[in-house]
Formats: sequence, C-alpha cells, structure tokens
Amino acid sequence: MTAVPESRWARLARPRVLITAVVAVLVATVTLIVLYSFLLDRMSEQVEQAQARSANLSNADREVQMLLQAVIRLDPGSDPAEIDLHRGVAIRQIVVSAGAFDADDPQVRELQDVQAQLQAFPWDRFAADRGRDEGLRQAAMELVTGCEKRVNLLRSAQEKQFYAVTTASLSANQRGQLALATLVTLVLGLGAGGIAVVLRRSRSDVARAYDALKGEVAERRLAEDALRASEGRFRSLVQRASDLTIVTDGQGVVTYVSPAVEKVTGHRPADVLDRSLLAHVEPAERAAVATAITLLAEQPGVVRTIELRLCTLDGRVRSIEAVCRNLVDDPDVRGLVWNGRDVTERRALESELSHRAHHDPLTGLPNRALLLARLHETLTAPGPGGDRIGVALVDLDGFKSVNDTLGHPAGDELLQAAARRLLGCLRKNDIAARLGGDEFAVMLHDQDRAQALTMARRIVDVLHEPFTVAGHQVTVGASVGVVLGTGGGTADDLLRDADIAMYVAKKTGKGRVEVFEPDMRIQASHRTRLQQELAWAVERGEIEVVYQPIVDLRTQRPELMEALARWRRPGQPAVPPDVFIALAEESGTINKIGHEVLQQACRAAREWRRLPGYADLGVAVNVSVHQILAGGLVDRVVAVLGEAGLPPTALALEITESAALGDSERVAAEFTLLQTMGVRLAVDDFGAGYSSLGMLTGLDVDSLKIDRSLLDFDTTRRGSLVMAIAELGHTLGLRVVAEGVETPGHLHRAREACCDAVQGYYLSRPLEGDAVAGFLTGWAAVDRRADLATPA
Amino acid sequence: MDTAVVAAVVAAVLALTAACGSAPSAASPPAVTVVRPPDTPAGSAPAAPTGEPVLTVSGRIAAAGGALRLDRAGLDAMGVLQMTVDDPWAKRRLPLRGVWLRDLVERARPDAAATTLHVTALDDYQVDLALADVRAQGILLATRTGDGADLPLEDGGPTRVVFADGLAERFSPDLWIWNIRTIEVR
Repeated sequence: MTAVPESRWARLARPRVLITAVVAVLVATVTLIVLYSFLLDRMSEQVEQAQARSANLSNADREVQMLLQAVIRLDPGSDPAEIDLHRGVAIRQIVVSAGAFDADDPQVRELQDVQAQLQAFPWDRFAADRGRDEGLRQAAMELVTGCEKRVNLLRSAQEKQFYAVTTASLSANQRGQLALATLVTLVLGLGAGGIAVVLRRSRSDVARAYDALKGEVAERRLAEDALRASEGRFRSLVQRASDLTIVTDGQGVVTYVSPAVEKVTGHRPADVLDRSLLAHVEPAERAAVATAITLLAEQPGVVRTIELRLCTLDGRVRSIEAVCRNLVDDPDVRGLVWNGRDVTERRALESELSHRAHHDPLTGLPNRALLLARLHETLTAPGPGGDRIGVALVDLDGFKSVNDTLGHPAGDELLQAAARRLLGCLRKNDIAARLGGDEFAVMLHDQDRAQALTMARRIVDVLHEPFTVAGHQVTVGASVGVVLGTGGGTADDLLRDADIAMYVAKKTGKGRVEVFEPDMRIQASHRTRLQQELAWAVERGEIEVVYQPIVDLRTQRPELMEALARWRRPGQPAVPPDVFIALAEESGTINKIGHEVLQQACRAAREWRRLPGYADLGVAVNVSVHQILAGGLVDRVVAVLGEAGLPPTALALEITESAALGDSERVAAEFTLLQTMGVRLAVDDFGAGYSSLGMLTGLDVDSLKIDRSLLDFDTTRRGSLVMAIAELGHTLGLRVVAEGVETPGHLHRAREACCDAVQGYYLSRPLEGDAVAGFLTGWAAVDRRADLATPA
Repeated sequence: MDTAVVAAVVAAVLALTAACGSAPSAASPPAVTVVRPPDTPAGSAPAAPTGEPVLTVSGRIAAAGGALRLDRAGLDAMGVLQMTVDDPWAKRRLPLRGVWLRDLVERARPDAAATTLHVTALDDYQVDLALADVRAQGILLATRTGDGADLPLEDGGPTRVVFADGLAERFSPDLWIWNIRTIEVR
C-alpha cells in the first residue's frame, strides 16, 4: 500500500479518538477516586473498629483489676457489696469486649471462657465470709489474677493490631494521594493536549472539552475533600485516644506529642517539644532508655516495647509501657514513634501481688519462700558469709488452745502481737519470717553462739509476757531452736536443723532454747520412726488397757477402776506410758487410742458390775485435750455407752490441762451435757502443770485428783499441801482423790487431809483386764479396814 | 465499540456509587408494650424510697430536696414498658423493660432552662444527652430484663439507657450508657 492521502473521515476521526481517550481517562480517574475513597472508608472503619476493640478490652482489663483489688481489700470491716459491684461491671465489660469482635473470632471464645470462670466462682460465699477464709481469698485471687492476665493478653494483642491497622491506613492514604496526583497530572496533560488539538478544530469542541475538564476538576476536588476528611478522622482518633503518642527523632528529641501526654504527665506540649525525651525520664532509668533509643535508631522498621518511667510535673513518676517503632525511613515521620499506655496502677498492683506472694498477710512478715530465698542468697554469695549465718526457729507453746478456745480472730491478734515483739528483738540485718501457724523464724546475720543464744533467750522472755487479746489476758510460751553455721548445707537444711533443735527444746520442757547438734538429727529420726510404729500398733490393736482401782476411804471398797493405755511391742522393750502418750498427742494418734480405751473399758466395766457387791462400780477413762477439741465427744461417749450397755453414771471422764479450756463455750456445753446424762467429770493431775483453779470454777466438775508429786511435799507447821488442796476441793463441794499413794506415809497424809478416795501402788498396781475380776472378788473377801485405817 | 466501552465503564461507576451510598431505611415507630401502667399521673413526684436507692436524679430540678432518689419500687411505679432493642455493644437483640427517660425526667420537674442530662455510670463513664432529644425520641431507661427480673450488673444494671430501633443512625453507640449511678440535669 502506498501512502494514501488521509481521507476526510480519517481526519475527522482523530479528534474523536482523542476525545474518547480523554473521556476514558476521566472515567478511569473518577473510578479510581471512588475506589480509593471506598477503600479509605473501609480503612478508617477498620481503624475505628480496632480502636473500639482495644478500648473495650482496656476497660475490661481495668475492671478485672478493680475486682482483684476488691478481693485483696475485702476484710470484716469493708463493704462486701463492693465485690458484687466490681464483679458485675467487669463481666459487663467482658461481654461488651466480646461484642466488638465477630462471633467466630477466637477472642470471643476466650472472653466467654473468662466470663464463665468469673461467674462460676462462689462470690456470694466469699463476700458473706468477708475474707476470713484465707483459702477462699487465695482461690479468688488466683482466679481473678488468671482472668486479668488473659484479658490483658488479649488487650495488648489488640493494641498491636490497632497500631498495625493505623499504619496501614496511613500508607494507603499516601498511596491513594500519590496515585491521584499522577492521574490528575496525566489528565491535565491529556486535557491540555486535547484542547490544543481541538482548538485547531472547532470552538464547540473546545467548549465541550473545557466543560468536561471543569466537571473533572470539581469531581477531583470532591474526592480530595473526602480524602482529607478521612485523614482528619484519623488525626482526631489519635487526639482522642487516651494512649500517649510521642514522636522523636533518632536522638530522642521530641517532635510531636499527643494531648494525652499532658493529661498523664502534666507537662504542656510546649515544654516537651524540641527537647530530649530523656529529660522527662526518671534519672535512674535515663542511661537504659538512652541505650534503647540508640539501638532502635539503628534498625529502621523495628518495633520494641520499652518501659518509660516519666516524671510528672508534680514530682511523681508514671510507668508508661511504650511500643516504639523506628519509622526513620518513612518520609512522613522520619523518626521514632512511641505509642504508650499508662500502666502505673498495673505496676503497683503487680508489686502488691508480688509482696503478697512473699509475705504473710496476717503479720506482714516475710513468708517461708522469701526467707528461704534470702538464706539462699546469703549462703551462695561470694565471701565467707555462709559460716556466719544462723537461724532461730521460734514456736509458740499453747497457741493452739488460745485459737481453739477464744476463736481465730483472737489467735490472729496474738500472732500479730507476737510478730511485733519478735521484731523488737532483732538486730539490724536480721530477718524475721512467719513460716506458718505459730512458727516463726529469724535469720541471724553474723552472730556467734553467745550472741545467738542471748537473742534467742530474749525472744523466749518477751513472748512469755502476757498478751491481751480479745479482752482476755493470755500467756503463751515459746521454744526456740537455733542452728549456727552450715558447713555447706542448703537453706532447707538450715531450716530443718533449726526445726529439730526447736523440737528438742519443746520436748525437754517448754520455754527453752536449744542449739542444734548433729546427734539431734538421729534422735529426731528415732522419734519419727516410733511415731510411725505407734500408728501401726494402733491399727493392729496392739494397745492394751490396764486398770488401777480407786478406793473409797469411807467404804474401803474400790469405787472406780481407772483405765490406762499401755503399748507393749512384741519382742522389744515397752515404751513408758508418758513417752508414748506424748508421742500419740504429737501425731494425733491419741484420738484413736482414747476411743479404743473408752470402748474396752466400758465393755469390761459392764462385766465387773455383775460381780456380787460391785453393781455400782464405775470406770474412769482419761480424755485428752485433742479428743475434746476434735468435737463430737458427747456423741462418741453416748454411742460407746449404748453399745456396751453401761449406764452413764458408771463412767467418769478424767481431764487435764489448759486453763483456757474452761473459756470455750462449746467445750463447756459438751461437758454440761455429759454431766446432765450422769457422766462424772474429774480433774486429773491437779496441782501440777496446767490444771488450775480457773478450771475448777470454769467447768462444773465432780471431783479432783491431787497430783502424785504433792504427796511428797512436806510442809512445816500447819499440815501438808495435800491438806490445803483437799480443803479447797471440799469447799468447792468436790470429791477429792489422792493419786500416787505408794507408801503407808502417803496413805496417812491422804487420810489426814480427809481425802475421799485414794489410788496408787500401795493399794494395787495397774491390773491386766482379765485379772480385775479376781482382784475385785479377792478384795471383797478380805477385810482391809486395818490396812487402810492405820499406817504400817 | 468505543461507545460500548464508555457505557460499560459509566454503568460500573454508577453501580459502585449506588453500592457505596445506601439509602436510609424509613424508621418505623418502636414496638412497645405496656407491662404495667403508671401508679400516679405523669409528671407527679414519686414517693420517697423505702428500699435501697438505685438511681439519683439531681441538678436543675424542682424535686424536693434538690435530688430525686429512686428505689426499684419507685421506678416501677412510673409504669413499666417492654421493648426490644439492638445492643450495639454486646451485639445482641435484647428484650428490656423500663420507663421512657422523658417520663422519669418530667417527674423530677426540670428547670425551663435545663438543656442536658449528664449521666454517670458506676465506672465513672459519663455522657451528655440533649434534653430535647430525650423529650422527642424513644429513649428508654431500662430497669428490668425482658422477663421482669432486676437488671443485673452483668447486663448493665441497675439501670441503663437504650435507644429504640431506628435511632441507631442518629445516636452514637457511645451514648448507650449502662451501670448508671446518677443523672444530673444541667
């Protein structure tokens, strides 16, 4: 084909092609603008949604923290409705937080699970109890702490999400603007080209193109307005957010602060801008933050979480958890962006929780965990510290009965007072801790044996001074075990050895101090083994019951047989009764032994009462404090009597110990009930140890047994001590029994004192069960008047 | 052919535009049932509370003592309505019972110059509601659940402000305030 001159149509078609191209480009521009505004709309929707989620979770987290604080605070003096309020509001915020996610998001399931856990806890019981049950409080704290952690985890994840969406939205915005600018330039270029072409063609074409361009420009302006609007929306978002946003350059000089910065720190933006961020960081943290900034500034695009402790205008310090992002390469930022969140309250709560984990809530002293940690630190510290370290383990004597008789609040009060006194005995570097129950420990720093002993004795003395708790004056004692130096032992070894020494101190008499010796460890293991054997012996029924008669001095006939427990180990030496009873009381086996003895004695007594002349014979059974405090004594006695077919009047219970017993209303009520049934009560070992006058008046007993040790007391002018006590007993309307009558002299003294009955080797040794019937019939056959009337 | 392309593009743009802007749906009046008519005529002062007050209205009102304390019985005595709303926060359709906020406010007898209700929640969240909106719109103070139980804290109790269907466009979800403690007329 040769060059053909352009046809008229072809010439005409050129402006048409141009116009079509211009229109197409215009349409494309409009489409893009619409698409971008659509996209930006969606973006800012996402930003808003992410912010709403983050804010809701933040609220939920705060409310769960408030609940935790309420749980910690709850005590008998506070309003339990607070628990209800914070639980309710916290759950509401959790529901709302879940509502901000789509139904099938994993966060919803997590939040629902947290909600279910919070709802399942017995809050009513906890609130009604007002924190008295430390176990329940512990459970509540664990539950709420767990929930708080989970919510907080969701919150921080969501905040990262919010940050990412915001950044994405910003860059989309930028890309949109860039694309728009390119297209507009293109359109303008094309438009100008079109105009130039069309100008040559016709005026009307120009007018049309101009109109089209005008329309396009108007459209573009609209679209730009839309863009600006959505950008403005983002800005206002940042302005409104309660989180702090700070932008610094690579050296940490502040170039932008969000309004929240002033709200949190009190510093006006003008005082912060263009200065180093470090100026507002707590002086002690400055070096660390400076290093963090330098490191971060070297790595564009990297994100780090940095904790900033900012000084406020009024001199306080706020903890800000900041997510810091290096956007040095971003042309719009050219710096580090800090998105921070005020976590001061959270940190305070965390330190409170850690304090609680390491301290005893009652006395405020360090607990076992913290003491062990300190011991460990000192023992493993370089230098000669380990040999100069000691532990004094302090155990209160008689604390349990205060707790049991005056109630737990009184016991708590006593422990608090004891802790205060203990602290008063310490030297500068010593640490006192409460190990649990009535056990305290003191870590002794750099003390020699003499110093340690002096301190331990002081502790014993100050704790023996009377305490006033719940309006009562009570006296307890303390036994102290001391261990010094270690020879390479661990913290646990130290505590265990101190415990063994304390144990020896307690055994050899209360209110004593013992220093640990390696021998003690062997004795301690011997003791443990004996306790184990005793428990087995009880299981196998190897505890025997023997009976010693109590003889009425008026009728000169046995009136009661006292049942006594004996432990005979086959093939081994018998364990003396006082030793194994003490063992049994320590391990609690005494309850089983006591019950066993009661059963056997009642059955035996029923048989003896069939013997001629012994229809009124009774049986006396010892009851330990353990059995009384365990409760249900009346029920057990009634059951045993019923089973044995023995009338209650044939039973006498012998009790010892503890002046405080008389103060317990429950114990008094049980004894009164037993007496109403006809069971007799006797105070055993009167005049020795714990049995006291207070017990005689506090409990309405029937008789008292004068302790054997008193028979040996010779008093000078006006008769014996036995006589004085017998007179006292008679004045109170009690029967008086002299125990431990082993010689004619003892018997004489008992008669002289007008005792009503006597018991002891002089009359009869304790008898095996099957020997009793023989003894009784033998006694009846012989006239003992002479034996009993006159001393040999 | 050019024309066809242009037409297609224009059609696409039109379709997009249409998709972006959705026409607002016509608001139908909220479906409300009366569970219990008011005990006393509208606008009269409620009786002094005998139970534990759950809501206090204060500020520019003519009520005796400058504050109106309401217990549950006092709230119920204003009449109980039942309505179902869309909770934009919990994303749930929720049947609730309560009293029109306007009825409650009228009983507190606000000043002629009062313009705003400043509502504070137990967690110190606060919102301002324009009195004109409260008077003109279906804004309910919910006091009970759909089955008549006291509104528990977990569901936003003791009282909460909810908006009738169709008002979502006009009122931001931020105005849905729950766990309300006080209403101050300003």
